[in-house]
Amino acid sequence: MGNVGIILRRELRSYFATPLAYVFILIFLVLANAFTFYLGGFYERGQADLAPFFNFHPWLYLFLIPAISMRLWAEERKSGSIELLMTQPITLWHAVLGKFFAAWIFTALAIALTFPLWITVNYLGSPDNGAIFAAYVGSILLAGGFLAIGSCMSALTRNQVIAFIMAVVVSFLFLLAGYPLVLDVFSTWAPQLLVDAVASLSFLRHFESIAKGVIDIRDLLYFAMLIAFFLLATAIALDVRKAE
Amino acid sequence: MTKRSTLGGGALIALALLFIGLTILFAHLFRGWRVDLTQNGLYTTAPGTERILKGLKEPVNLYFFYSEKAASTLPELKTYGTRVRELLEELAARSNGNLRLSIIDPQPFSEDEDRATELGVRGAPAGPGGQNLYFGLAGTNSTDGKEAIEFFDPRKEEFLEYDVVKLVHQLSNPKKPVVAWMSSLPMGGPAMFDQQTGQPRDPPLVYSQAEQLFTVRSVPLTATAIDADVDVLVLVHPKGLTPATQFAIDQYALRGGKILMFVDPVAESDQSGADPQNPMAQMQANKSSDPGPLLAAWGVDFNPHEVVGDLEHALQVSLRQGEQPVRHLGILGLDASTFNPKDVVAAGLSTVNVATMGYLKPRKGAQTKFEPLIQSSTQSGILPTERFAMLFDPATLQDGFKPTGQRYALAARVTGNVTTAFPKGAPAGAAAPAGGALKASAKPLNLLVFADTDLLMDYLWVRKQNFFGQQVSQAWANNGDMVANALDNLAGSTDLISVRGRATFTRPFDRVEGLRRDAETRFRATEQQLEGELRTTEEKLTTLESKRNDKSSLILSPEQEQELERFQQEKLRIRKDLRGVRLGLDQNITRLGNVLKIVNIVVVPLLFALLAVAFGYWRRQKRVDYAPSLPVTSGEPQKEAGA
Repeated sequence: MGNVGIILRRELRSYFATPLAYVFILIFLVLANAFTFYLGGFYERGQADLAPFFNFHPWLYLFLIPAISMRLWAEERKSGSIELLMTQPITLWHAVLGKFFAAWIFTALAIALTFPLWITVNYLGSPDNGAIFAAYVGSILLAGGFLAIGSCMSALTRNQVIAFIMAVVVSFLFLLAGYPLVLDVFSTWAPQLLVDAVASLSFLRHFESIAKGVIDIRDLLYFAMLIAFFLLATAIALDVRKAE
Repeated sequence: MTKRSTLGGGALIALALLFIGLTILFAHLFRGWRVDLTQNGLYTTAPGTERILKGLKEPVNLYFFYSEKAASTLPELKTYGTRVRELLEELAARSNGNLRLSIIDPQPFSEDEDRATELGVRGAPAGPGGQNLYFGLAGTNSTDGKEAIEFFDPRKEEFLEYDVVKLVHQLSNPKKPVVAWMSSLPMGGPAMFDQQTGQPRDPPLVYSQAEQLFTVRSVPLTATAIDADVDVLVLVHPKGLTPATQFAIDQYALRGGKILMFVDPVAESDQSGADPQNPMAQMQANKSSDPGPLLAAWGVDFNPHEVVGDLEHALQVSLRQGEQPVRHLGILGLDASTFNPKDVVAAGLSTVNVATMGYLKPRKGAQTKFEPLIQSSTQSGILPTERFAMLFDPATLQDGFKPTGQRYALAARVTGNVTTAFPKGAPAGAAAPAGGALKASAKPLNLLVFADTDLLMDYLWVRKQNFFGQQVSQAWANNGDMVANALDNLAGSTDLISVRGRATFTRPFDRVEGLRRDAETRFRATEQQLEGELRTTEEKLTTLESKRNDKSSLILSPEQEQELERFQQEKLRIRKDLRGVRLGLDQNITRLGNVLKIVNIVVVPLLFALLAVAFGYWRRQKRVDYAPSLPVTSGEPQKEAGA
């Protein structure tokens, strides 16, 4: 575990060493708040809850998180620094976990910096703070899911742009897994069990159910398994491509 | 493809299958493992539910008709369907086998479909290809009892547990408490005919809801006795009761009867003063309740000529279509700050709307215990009922309104022993009860009295809508819940009360509402002042004009012309000021909105950016400070050497 920690710290430090991270957080904050007030009509709506804010998270993440994840592995493979990384006395798995958690902590920080909005809604009225807290938890888990997918896509290619696009597409499929857009592909030929299974893979469904204020262990397990799967896939992809 | 990549690919596929398999497994395995963080505990079963389930003595059969396959094309319905199914399974698991649940997906033209219709569950033609989609619950018990929830409305998710538990409760308690309903306002029974169309009108929803949980008997206002098996007597707007009827109620109270009473200084639904010849008669008629000697005998003072106006809880209403909504001091949205948290009837509720409510006081020297159930805010005062007689502009109620700082009891629970309201014995025409008339309480009285009857009417708390071709009621306040709680509480059953009314209908921006109220008060004062000036100016103008006519000369002196001009300018100015004040009404609110937007969208990110820059600068400084220990390499060693 100590190795993971080392990589984690190194990665985090490297995030904040360049202006890139700060710019990203700035853009995220401005967009999230602007969407909440102008697209979500938060103030005009007159209701003390943060639904207009959280409704945009899946769509913000769809484009912003691949921007973080695309550089997790593609850059290293391209520049060859991955060889340097692999010569360290760490396993591939440590590297994958370390980088992932660093990216996740960074994203969680960006999300946490939206706290003035929480203060604002409490200033205006009396919202259900328990439900808001649950929604933040769900949002951070959702971000983790997007990151895991992005990490895997990033490991599959040397080109950051391709990593970005693939991450967006796959994330989009997972977002809409419960909707006709994706389900129709399966509903004609697959057994009901499989169709239900695909529907239950939907990001939106699990995020919305947490955002209602209940943290059901099945939603936690869903995100945990999703992240585990894609991190494993990342490790496998890196391992396979090691020779290349 | 190298051997490595096929191995890798194979591992991935295996993992994917494992992932999907586990998802399905967990969906069934880990039911009910959750942390409910909501304020009202909406996703945790209420204690009353547990009691009702454990109290089931005979089996109750539940049939959940759910077209799951058809619902998979409607994601929102599917999510809700899963929630309903899991709730039912959880309830069945906790019932020690007394709740038998069957989940049925009715196929078109099958026996199941007929069964569903027979039991009262309607299908909606919402499935693919227009086939019927079923999403309802039916229940039967060991006798002939049959209850159903026709269709689960996803908009009423917060009431899901209550609706299901109520159904189970109704089936497990076929013998319902008897409620005698005596009302001078059109409620249930033969009085419910619409004069104009001759069609039977629906009774107010509180009455229909009571009929579901109790055996409701409509008692005429001329009754001279209350039946011995009556558990609760509901008395709505007593008016024009004969002494004989009052005596019957008095004796019922002395027997230890439970009474739920609604009196009102101005009962808007009171049509008794209507005169087809004179349309104005209705508006000027006396609409106050007259409880006679009853309330006084029970230790309660009620003044039928006074209405409580509450500035803090006044609602915005528009009396006529297309008009600007104005704050009406008599129509109040009472919230949790007004309810007595120790009394179960109102404690868990969030909003109850009332119109022209009076107040109650304990009578001096009364023997009974008077506990306020609902109290107005300190921003309230008294308005005489005359102000409401021909009220065209509710804003006028605020003129000269000064809150007394006192909190008035709008509803109360009265308990204890009482003496008869007829010390001289039974009045003429009264039926003498068997065993002689009681002079004092045989058993203590339990009385809940509310100083408003309008809260029973649908327009203050529920809206009826069409949902898939069926009339569905959508409540936006807890009036119905409060009445049901009161009935339950008096009838002795408390289980459903803890499940009822847990939903919050609305969480408004209190701060914005406060600003709006302040702005209106200020606007009102300025508006009155300006209107006064306008009137004076107009009067002066008219006088001047009439002078012109009097003299029968077509021309005015130059001074008079000048004055005329001046007054007209004055009039224009005042009207402009009035417009300005009206525009400025919302200014504070818009300004607050803009400030908040700027703070969140610009200021906070900017602060963060500044912090980031400062941090970066500090780090660079640190690195620079770190450098001195290194040898300073000048850029020109060769030059030096060469010099």
